[in-house]
Amino acid sequence: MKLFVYVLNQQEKIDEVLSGFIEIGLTGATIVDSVGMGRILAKEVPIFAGFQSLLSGSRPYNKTILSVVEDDEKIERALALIEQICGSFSEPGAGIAFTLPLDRVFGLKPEIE
Amino acid sequence: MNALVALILIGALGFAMGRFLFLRPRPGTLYERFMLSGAEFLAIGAVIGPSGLQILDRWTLTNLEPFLILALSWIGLLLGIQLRWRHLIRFPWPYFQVSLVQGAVTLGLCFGALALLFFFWTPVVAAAADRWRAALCLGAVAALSSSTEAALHEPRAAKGGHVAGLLRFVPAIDPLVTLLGLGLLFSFWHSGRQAVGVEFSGFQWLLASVGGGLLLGSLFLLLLASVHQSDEAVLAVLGMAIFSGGLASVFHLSPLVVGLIQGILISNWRRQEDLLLNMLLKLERPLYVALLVLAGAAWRFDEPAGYLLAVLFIALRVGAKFLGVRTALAVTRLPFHVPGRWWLGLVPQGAMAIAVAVSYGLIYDDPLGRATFSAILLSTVVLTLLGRPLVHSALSDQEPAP
Amino acid sequence: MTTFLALLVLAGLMAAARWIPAFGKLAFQTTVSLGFVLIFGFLVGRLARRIRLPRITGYILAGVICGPYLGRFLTGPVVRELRLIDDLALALIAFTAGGELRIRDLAPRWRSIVAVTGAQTGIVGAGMFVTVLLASPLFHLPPGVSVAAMAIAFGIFAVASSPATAVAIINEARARGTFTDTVLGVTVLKDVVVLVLVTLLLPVMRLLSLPGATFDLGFVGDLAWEVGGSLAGGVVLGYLVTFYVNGVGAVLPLFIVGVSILVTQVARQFHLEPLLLCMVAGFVIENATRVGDRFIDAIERSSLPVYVVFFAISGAAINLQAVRDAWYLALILVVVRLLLVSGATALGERAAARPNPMVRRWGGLGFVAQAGVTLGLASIVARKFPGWGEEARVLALAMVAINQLVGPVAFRWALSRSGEATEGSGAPARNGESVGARTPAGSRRSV
Repeated sequence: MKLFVYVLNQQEKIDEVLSGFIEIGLTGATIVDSVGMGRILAKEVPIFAGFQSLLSGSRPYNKTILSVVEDDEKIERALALIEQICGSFSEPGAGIAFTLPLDRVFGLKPEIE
Repeated sequence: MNALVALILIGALGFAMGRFLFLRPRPGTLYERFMLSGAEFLAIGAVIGPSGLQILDRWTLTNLEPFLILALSWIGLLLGIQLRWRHLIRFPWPYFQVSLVQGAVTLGLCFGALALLFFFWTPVVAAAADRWRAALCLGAVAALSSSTEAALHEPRAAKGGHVAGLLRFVPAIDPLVTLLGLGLLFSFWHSGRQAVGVEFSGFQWLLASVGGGLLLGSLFLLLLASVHQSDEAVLAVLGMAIFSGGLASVFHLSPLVVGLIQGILISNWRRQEDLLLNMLLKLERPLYVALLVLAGAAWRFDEPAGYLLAVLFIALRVGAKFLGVRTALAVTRLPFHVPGRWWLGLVPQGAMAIAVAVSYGLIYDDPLGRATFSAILLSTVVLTLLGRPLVHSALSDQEPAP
Repeated sequence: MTTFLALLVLAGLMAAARWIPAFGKLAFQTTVSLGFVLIFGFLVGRLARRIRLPRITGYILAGVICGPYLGRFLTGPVVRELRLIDDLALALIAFTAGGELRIRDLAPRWRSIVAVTGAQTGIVGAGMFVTVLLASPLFHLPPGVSVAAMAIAFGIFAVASSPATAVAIINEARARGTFTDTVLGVTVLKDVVVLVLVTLLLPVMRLLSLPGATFDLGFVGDLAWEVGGSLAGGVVLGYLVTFYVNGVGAVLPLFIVGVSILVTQVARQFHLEPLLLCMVAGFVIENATRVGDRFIDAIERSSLPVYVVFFAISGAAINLQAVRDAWYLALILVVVRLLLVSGATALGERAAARPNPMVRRWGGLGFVAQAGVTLGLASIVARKFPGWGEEARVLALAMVAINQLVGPVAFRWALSRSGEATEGSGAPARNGESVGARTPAGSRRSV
């Protein structure tokens, strides 16, 4: 049993990612709105996108996806899916993912295949 | 040098160095001293161009014009696509009023002054139509300010306050006045009689610009309806940017204006423009670097008229900006007090000026036109270098933030 | 529906641009035409898919429709300008071709590949030679022209097929399997063979047709440099690209585009063969390094716009005039060639360790398509042999035109028959991910 955590930077892809998760059988996840620290000291000064930068300000938002996964294979598939949608992890912009082993879990509903 | 190879190398430069462009200075890091402002790329272009070492000769530059058209179209689209109605209404109307009035007054004053001046004297021999055009082009450029400077040098966002916020808002909106001016220029002083051979009135050309933009926007929307995957989306954006830019150029209109109208139509019609916006944003920096290098290469820095005009223009711009802001603040009721030196923050001239200069230079190649191109480039460089002190001065006596 | 509407608006705008007098500088003309081709080609490709034709046939048809012979949206000079994209496209295709050849997949098939290549070269080449000799009275050739030289030329024309089309169709169909590997392997090998053939036979043809021509062995050295240098260069290029992918790894699709253009320019300077270079590089990257998947993925991401323009322009460049003039002769040659190729493939497949019945039956269809390679050869022949070269070129043009239209359809059909085409079937593709399993955005989000 692992906790799969993924910080998604490209917020516009959230729908695609979550739909993809459902398809590979990862049906339970919690989404948390989060803020990136690094980019507050941002280099992202607008050149032509002045108006857009006013909207998001200098605090870029991202989403953290938390999911309890029983099956390591699902994690592999999730990672492949993420790389397919957001780009390779080795390139900037795909976000960060990691897993944590879990000790005891309560309230987890059986996953729908 | 072969045009394609030149393009690759310039592109590589753009990707490699784009990240160093307008870096927000981080205290204590190397980057603080290393920030590039864009003038460096103009210089590189000038050195390798036909007026310099001739690594890029005039023929190659002509072959690279399609790329310039693409870049201008891209920029127009990018500008337009940000102007989503539901985002625009999040900002108070007085902010818009300040931006638009300031822009219009600055344009009017600068245009008027230059038109009057050119009536009696020009730095080079010029026909009557050329004089009006040059005056309007410079007036349009005077209207815009720089989002980059304001964003770079403002105090941290959290401590920003209204005054700094307004200073970031105005440069985001005043390019609209500039492009309106540009649209009028390309329509009413159409270079057409000689080149395109169709006799349309100025008003008809204006209609054509707007209509063309809307039609192309509709085409874009239809295209996007059949696009389902990201590589198809890339093709759609690329194809439309190239096609609409090329179409505009064929009719001797500005790709910037046509792109802007397209972008506005698209962003207000569809729900999911984030994808498009992100795609357009990805190439923002490399494209700008490439644009700078090519603009520098096209710049005939050995023609003295440009320098004279630049000095004149900077003086007029500063004066017109001052009066423009004064007027805008006088007619607008803002809920907070704007300090006396705030207008200085709008003096720096941004990237859009370079784009306008390139758009103008692609069509109007007369001596005064070239001097105008030169003047815009020079004034942008000078005002960018003065950017930091100007913005600091503008914001120095603002009220302390809550 | 939207597709048709889009095509209408697009055509309308382009027509306005074309027929309003004084169309403007060539640079502007080229720009608008490039954009037009991209979008028009893409949309026609979509339509083609809907009527079960391969997308690239759509692109080619789009080109034919708007080319200088039919719709005239694109003018001759513009088409010539846009052919610059050929270099880029062919380099990308060559990279892909090399990258799709995996040693472990090819190893069991090597006998078949070599045998089929040999059989095709021999049977098709000789067969076509004989056919042209026999049919020469139909050509109305001026007296004194060496029919033998012309027959040799057509022999070579017939052997060549189109790696570009093969790769594009395989890509589009997301095909994998022995049938695919065999066709791809043979196509790649044949490219080298044709190169050698041309270099060896050109002097022979000169001897036969130009009076007083002498036999000069210098070409052997040139050939050795061209082939050997390209092979070595390809290996070097492969490692350089790997170095970048591992080291920097940023903006891969654009990097590959840039490299493709630079490589073709440099290769020309050094009299190397750019296609061979890129094929070897792709092969090295796929088989000797670990970045193969990323590399191919990056190419696929940048390939769509390039393919559209490449195939559309090749369609626009089809000389419909030539086809109209020489169609009956060309048709004879096309049919004869098809029979010879099918026969040769079936024969060659017998030599395989485990002959694949699909290859024996339908393999020939994978080699029908012809394109740039043959056209290039035809142009060379036209230039070097003033007596009959031009006639031969026109006939070759017609033959290639027919093959170019029919070939992709035939191959796509053969791939479907062989069961190896996986596009749209949801079966795992290259990386084991589901193909065509895109979920509509805006679907359930809360979990």
